[in-house]
Amino acid sequence: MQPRETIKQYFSRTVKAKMDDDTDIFDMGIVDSLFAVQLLMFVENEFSIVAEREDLHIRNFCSIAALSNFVEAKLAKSAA
Amino acid sequence: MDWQLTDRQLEVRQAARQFAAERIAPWAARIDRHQTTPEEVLLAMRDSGYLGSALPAQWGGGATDPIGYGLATEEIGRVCSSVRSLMTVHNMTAQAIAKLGSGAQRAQWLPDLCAGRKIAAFALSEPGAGSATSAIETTATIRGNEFLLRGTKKWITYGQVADVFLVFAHCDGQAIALLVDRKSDGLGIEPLTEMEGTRGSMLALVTFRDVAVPKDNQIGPTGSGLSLVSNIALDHGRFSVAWGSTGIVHACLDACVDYVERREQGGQKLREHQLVRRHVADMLVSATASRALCLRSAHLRQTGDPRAVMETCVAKYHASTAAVRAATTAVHLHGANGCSGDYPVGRYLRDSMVMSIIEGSDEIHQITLGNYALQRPYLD
Repeated sequence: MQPRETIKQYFSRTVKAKMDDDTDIFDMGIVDSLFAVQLLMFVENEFSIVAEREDLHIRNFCSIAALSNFVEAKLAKSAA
Repeated sequence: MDWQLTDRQLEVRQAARQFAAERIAPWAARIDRHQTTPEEVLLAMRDSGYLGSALPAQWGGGATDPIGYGLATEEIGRVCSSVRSLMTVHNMTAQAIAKLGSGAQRAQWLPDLCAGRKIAAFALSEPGAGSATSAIETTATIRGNEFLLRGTKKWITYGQVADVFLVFAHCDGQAIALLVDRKSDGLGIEPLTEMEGTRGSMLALVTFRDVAVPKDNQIGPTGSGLSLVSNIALDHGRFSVAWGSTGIVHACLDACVDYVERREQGGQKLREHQLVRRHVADMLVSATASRALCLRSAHLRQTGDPRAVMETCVAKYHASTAAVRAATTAVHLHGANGCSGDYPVGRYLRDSMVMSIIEGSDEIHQITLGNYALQRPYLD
């Protein structure tokens, strides 16, 4: 399964709100800031990546699209 | 989930129990009465390895797993919540550095924090900002290669003796986190006393009057200060407070079982009264449930499961409210003795009230967990 689909499924399971891939979950007030830590644990565990200091911008975690792009970039970098 | 503790975890718990009994318990009443942690106890904590026990071995930490670390926290919290709070705040800052610090920052700070040569404090709360962290007013202004920090932090646990503070501020409207050396020019420390609970935790009012902080001391990226840095640290704090609160419940149970075995009333031991048995039964169930929730939280952390974040909130909320209940009952069971300084249960009650406020008050947890419940996590 592609990262985006896995991430969508996680959002669908944990965020019970209507949203599209670009919806900013923090700006829209759909989740609280604790959710950012959950997302961090989720992507590190699910995709076996380690988010480094420079990765930890909230913009990487604010939507399905942003998180998917971040994970795909990390996976591509580790495969290179 | 495997509830069987490993040999290593059992060893960690036994060692912590012995350390707490020998090095902290004899001081606990005095720590409360004198509103300070004596140098002997601080030295014991520095030398014990508990300050760095959950930190990576690479930097000299003990690399103890979350279950072992939690069990040790419970044992220390069972004898003295003030000293347990040193473990909490030191690790909140150290964990933030370990997770969010640069390679240079880790190399600079973690060896000393792991070894207990330096003590770290967590400086988020302000006179006008407790649970509402977005309301912080401390500012950091960029000046060349440094920040100028201005503001006041309040209720900073072990701030009186900390060597380094993790300080949260706003910089051009964005949240940032900075490591600030105690010896910085313009940094003032004023002891706060006459607190109701954890009276020996050496709280301080810390003021920053244009304190120059090198840009290299920023932890995490700009803008992530309140969302990621503080939440990673507070997540650790809630985990630690949950275990510490579980320690208080066990301490209340211990104290009450001892007391009702000895104390006679109306020609019979208190233990013979059915209502007394009901109270100790409730305490036993609370102690068991609190520890079970803490173990669940620790297990999820150990496996990297993201549910750990909310399940830690569940454990903290349950354990801290259970501690208040157990300590209230314990004081009642002790009667007038419970209100005197001759027995520890009054201290447990005052300490438990602090547990239900710090790292997210009961009310904040009710809101957070109410939202969580609506996601039906119990179906997973």
